[in-house]
Amino acid sequence: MENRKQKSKLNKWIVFTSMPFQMGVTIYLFYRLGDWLDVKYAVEGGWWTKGLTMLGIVVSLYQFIRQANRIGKDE
Amino acid sequence: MVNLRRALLILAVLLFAVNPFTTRAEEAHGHGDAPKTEAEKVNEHIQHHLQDDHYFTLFKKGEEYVGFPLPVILIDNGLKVFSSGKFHEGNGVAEVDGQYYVNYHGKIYKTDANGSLTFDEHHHPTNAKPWDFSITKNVVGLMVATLLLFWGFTSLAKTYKKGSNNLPKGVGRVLEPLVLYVRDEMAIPNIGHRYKEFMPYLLSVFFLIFTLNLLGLTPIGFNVTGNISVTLCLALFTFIITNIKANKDYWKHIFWMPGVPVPFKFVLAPIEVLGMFTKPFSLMLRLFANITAGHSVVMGLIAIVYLFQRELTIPGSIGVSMLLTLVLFFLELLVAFLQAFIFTMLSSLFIGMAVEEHSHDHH
Repeated sequence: MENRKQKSKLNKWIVFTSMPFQMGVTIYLFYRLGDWLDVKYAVEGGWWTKGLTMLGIVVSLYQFIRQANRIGKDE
Repeated sequence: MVNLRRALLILAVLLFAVNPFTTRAEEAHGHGDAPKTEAEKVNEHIQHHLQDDHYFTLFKKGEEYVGFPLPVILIDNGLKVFSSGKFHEGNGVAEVDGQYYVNYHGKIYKTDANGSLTFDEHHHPTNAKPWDFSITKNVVGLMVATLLLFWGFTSLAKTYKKGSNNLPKGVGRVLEPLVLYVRDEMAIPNIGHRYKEFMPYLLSVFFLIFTLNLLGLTPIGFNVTGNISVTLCLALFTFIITNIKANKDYWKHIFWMPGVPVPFKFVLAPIEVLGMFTKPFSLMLRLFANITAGHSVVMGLIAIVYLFQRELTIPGSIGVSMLLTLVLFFLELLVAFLQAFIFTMLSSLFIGMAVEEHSHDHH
């Protein structure tokens, strides 16, 4: 059982390689939502886009930290 | 010291090779109506290779694609089956049972006898599309891979049938360690004691992607795993299996996160739901992007033969092209395995996260 744990630790780093894609997709989706809202409500200066893109970054960071914690917890 | 000098020489050749390439590309962009430059032709050829097609192209001779037509299967007021060779006769319009079809950039549209298409402002045809179940180049690739795997694994199974202590022969010698590798390195560490339920899926996905990636490196010209529909489908399977097999803990962590104050639970739920979708999405994108990039770069490097004859002379351009392609080809062999490995690894990790039993002490 100890041996198995050791191996799983080595393999877990791979999950980090998918993180950029995940963050990118999250941020992009928030950006699209903001863009759509700006057009729909004809907001001057694109504040929905700006605000929601920033929120997207925060959310993607949250997802990143949560997954990292989860992997850390198993060790 | 000799090594260093050699490395510098190679670097110089590389820089020399890349520099004129970029200037040429800029030149090509300058004038729109002029006859196609070599670079544009190469680009067109690469684009053609990357896309799925109703015609199996083996190579290109002048302006003509040489290969064989594949069957077209349409559902449009009943089943219609004909050879895609019909699109290459006459004016490019295929007539079947009084209905006319035209093949525009790999997509089949309904049309009239003259093959007229109407376009919207983005230059996409607005003609109606029939349901297309054709055996395209990618479908042929999938079939070939399936047959290869079927043959490989039945021969492996036969050796076990003979007796428990038989060593696998032939292709089985390669397959057996890989099967064990998937089990011991991916399934067991990530999923735990329930790993057996998911082995059929993980093995299928691993060997299918690996075989298709390797087929893509042969000169036959398959590009199956570099097609986003194929990777979408594979990722979708992981998504479905993860969510169907998920236990109560998994759903609880998504919709009602334990260990945080109640208002936050409402904030976190949509974020977690979003995460459910972005995980398989990243699987889809990664495989597609890696294989597409690999194919483009290999073909681009082969194109050095045609693009740099003036600068490097014919033997020089062939030599540089061969050397660079060879180096990249070995890298692509690694990528072929690595992408299959990562896809399977992450699938097992996502499944493992969904089925793991939490001991609720550390929340």
